[in-house]
Amino acid sequence: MNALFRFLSSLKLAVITIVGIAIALTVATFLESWYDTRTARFWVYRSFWFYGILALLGVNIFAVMVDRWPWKKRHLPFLLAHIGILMLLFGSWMTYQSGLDGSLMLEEGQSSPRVELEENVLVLIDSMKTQILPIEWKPAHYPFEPYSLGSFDLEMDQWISHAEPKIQFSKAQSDEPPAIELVIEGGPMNFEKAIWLFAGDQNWSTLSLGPAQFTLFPVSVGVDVKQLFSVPIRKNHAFFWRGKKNELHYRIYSKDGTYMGGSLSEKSQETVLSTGWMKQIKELKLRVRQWMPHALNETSYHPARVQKGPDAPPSAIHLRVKGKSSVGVWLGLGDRAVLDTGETEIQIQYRRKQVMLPFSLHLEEFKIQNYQGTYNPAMYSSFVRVIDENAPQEKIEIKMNDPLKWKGFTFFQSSYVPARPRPTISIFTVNQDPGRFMKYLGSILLVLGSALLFIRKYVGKKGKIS
Amino acid sequence: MKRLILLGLLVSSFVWAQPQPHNFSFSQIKRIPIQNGGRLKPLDSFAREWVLGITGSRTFKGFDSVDLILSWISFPNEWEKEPFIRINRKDVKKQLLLSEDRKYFSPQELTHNAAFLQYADQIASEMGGQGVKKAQVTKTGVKEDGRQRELKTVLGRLTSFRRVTSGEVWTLVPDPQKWKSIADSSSAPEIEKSFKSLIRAYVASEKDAFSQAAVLLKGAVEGKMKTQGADIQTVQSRAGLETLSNEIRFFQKAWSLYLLAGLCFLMMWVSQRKRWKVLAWGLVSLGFVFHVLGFGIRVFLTQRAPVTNMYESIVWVSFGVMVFAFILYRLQKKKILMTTACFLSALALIAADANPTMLNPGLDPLVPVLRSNFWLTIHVLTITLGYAAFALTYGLANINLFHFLAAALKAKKEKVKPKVSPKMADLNQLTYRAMQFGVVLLAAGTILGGVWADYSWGRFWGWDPKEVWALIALLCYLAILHGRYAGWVRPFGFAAWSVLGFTSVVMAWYGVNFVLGVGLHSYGFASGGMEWVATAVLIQIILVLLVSFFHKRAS
Repeated sequence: MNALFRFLSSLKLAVITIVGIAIALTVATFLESWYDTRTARFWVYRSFWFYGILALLGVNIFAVMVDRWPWKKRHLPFLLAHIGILMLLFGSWMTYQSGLDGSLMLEEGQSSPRVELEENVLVLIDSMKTQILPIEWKPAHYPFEPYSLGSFDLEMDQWISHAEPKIQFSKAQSDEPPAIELVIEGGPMNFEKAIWLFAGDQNWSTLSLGPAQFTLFPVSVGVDVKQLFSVPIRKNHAFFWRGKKNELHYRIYSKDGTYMGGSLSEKSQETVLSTGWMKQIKELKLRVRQWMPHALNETSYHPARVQKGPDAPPSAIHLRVKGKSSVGVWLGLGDRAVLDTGETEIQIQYRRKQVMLPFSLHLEEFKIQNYQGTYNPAMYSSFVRVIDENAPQEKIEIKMNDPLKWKGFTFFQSSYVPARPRPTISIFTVNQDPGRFMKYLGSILLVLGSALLFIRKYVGKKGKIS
Repeated sequence: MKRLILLGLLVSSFVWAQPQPHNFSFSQIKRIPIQNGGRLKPLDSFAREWVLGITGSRTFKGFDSVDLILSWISFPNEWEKEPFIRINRKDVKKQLLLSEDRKYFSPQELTHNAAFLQYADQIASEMGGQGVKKAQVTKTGVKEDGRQRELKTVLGRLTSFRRVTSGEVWTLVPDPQKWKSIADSSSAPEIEKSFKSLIRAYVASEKDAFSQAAVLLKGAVEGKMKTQGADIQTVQSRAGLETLSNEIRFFQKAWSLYLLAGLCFLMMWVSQRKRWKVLAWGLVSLGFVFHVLGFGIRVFLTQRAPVTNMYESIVWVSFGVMVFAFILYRLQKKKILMTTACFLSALALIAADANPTMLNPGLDPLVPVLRSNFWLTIHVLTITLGYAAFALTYGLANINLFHFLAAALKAKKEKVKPKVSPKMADLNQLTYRAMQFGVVLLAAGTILGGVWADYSWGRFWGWDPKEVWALIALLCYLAILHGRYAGWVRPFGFAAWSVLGFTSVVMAWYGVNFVLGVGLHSYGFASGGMEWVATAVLIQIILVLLVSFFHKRAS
């Protein structure tokens, strides 16, 4: 016991833990640079062993302080500095245990009490019950084992840490909108790229690729073609639409506004169309790989090409009904789905964890001010109202470095969604930190203590030298 | 504007020769206010920034910046054939099939280069494709390599040059919203007229007419500003001050003086004569005055704390080094302190001064999160002062390492154990003091960073790489101090670790922004210079290892 205490209160342990933390942190920052923040969190900042080292540091400091007992006046700087560190550690633990750090997005005129956190959850609802299950984020190469979800007859059998949606199209009989797969090829750089256009979804019916545009009209039979081409800009634009007999019509405008057009029958395969684009160097061509006069779409997810950095997309999960491997569904973050187990229908939502505030925030107006003669923002702020009993009725301005405080929650202006002519969606950070006081007090003690420690040493040593 | 260019064409077709500097008196035209890059600045700064941006160096063939930028717009066709666009990387020259021995290339060479054109097309299509939905076309997410970056820079230089010659960037026409360019202005006939006569006089090389036109143009711009409610006197005095500080280049003067002072301090070991002491202190004080003045003017012009980018922080850190040296000298009276500080400070300032394309010395406006913030100012100033103290630690410990090396070699020769001489003990003591300053300031600065983050983002600590690296640096020095206290770190080890510890400061200061490039401090991210910094760090580590080898062998 004595030996253990001597070890726990030793300077040796202090140096080892300090060096250990420094190494762990170095690794974490490189993980963050090579992969992303989530990876660094998973392996270091939120890992149990890192908490372990921090706890060890706390124990070490505490033991050293006990070791110095009975304390004398000359111990004061040492005690202040080390109590400061303990308080900082304890305050951080309090924040981790019961603090809130989320974001609230509001459009002008909107009000909401809903704060989104960074963690992900899976919401499962059937006619009997509702369950919200936390889904822990894991890096791509971390081994994943399928596991069952709460008391539902479901299991999660696939996990993709950075997922990209992939829409697959399949031929349908009739009444469905058309889809087309094109291969853009040639050009000065011997370009080759396949794209899909789908008329059934606005996001998929028009695509821009550099200066070129591709559109598949959702309309078909019997439409006056002239009316179709009332589109104002018709340069470098390829248009496609379905004819009466399921044939494919096309019209491709070149840079100067002239076009070439024609049609292909439903059966024709791998036809190459000339475009007139980049003609002076080497022409780009369009190859029609697949033409589906009527198509259905189905979304699945696959690992994204971008596996790191702030541009890396969020995760996706695949669920299936236990014992029936054929019945399953893919969910990207924010997706909803309904799954029929044969016995009951389950509504599913994969989303960020949410917390409801005991009151609502209403955004009246978002204001932004740019630097003279540029679009670089110089300052932005939101005018809000708190919807709550006893809340002040007048508008309150939240701006950078000037937050709003209400009932222990603090609202910071953190960002906005850029838009022209002016942005109208404001993003706030919402925060509640029970450890704040502890951390501040600890900071003051730490700085004061270490300053005193060195001043005292200086005075002492000077006496010795002279 | 077209007529203007035509005029230039006409004249130039008679005198088909290399454009030469005119060396007129530019003092009037330099002070003309112009809106560019989000702020109002004198034309002098505008010209300097564009010349730097296009040629990649401060001066070109003896042209004054204003002279050069006027020459560009006056003789666009001659300049098309003139090699002045800089390409640094050999692989880029190779890729573009250009001669690898040359440094500068003409716009014509580049615009007739098929490989370059193809690349320009690719960039243009990348830019155009930004609005594409993520699900369909994703960026590859790979960090650009140096070659691509250089190509982009060269393309940027070419476009910038075109924008200068077309008149597009000459936003000289005041407007309450956004100043209009001289190329598309019809609302300000006086400004347009005097600008044209200015160019005409420049083309015709008429000195007096040029001066007159410059006065007229300045009057016209300021007159228009006045009608829009601007306080002309303030504008004039600020423009004057900025032009003056551009011309004096305070920090350059400061480092030259520090360097000389350092040499004089060195002479004090050789010669006991009093004059060296007087000279050294005179020079270092004068250098310090220039340093402070340069800073003061910068703060006055930008109305903010002078530590918002790498350039400013280097200047501030070298200032901190001097301040700590003065303080410690008062306490301990060791001239080695001043010698070290002078050379260290001079080196830092030279590094900041030498590479304006990488370390931007411009007075650019700030991103919103950095604006008007008391805590931010305090936090950054404190933390960088901590860096300064560690820089001094590093310098002193390095000198001590050489003493240790000398002692080890001598001991080896005499076949005795090396001793720690009083000189070495003194140096270690100074290192220790400086390190204490550093630890207290870095701890306070990091915590103040937490306070600021709490105040403006709502969280005290978020494991952001910049804060983490400040903490790592702090932990490194704490480990050294605790090790010393425990008696594991002996005098030699203390000197060696003090040198090595500075690597963590380099990482926190430079590395996070230039190497890691992730996190919330993104407003400071940049690239370049990695080869140099990495080499310097590597050489330093090898040096320490060598000395420890000799030290070990001798003892």
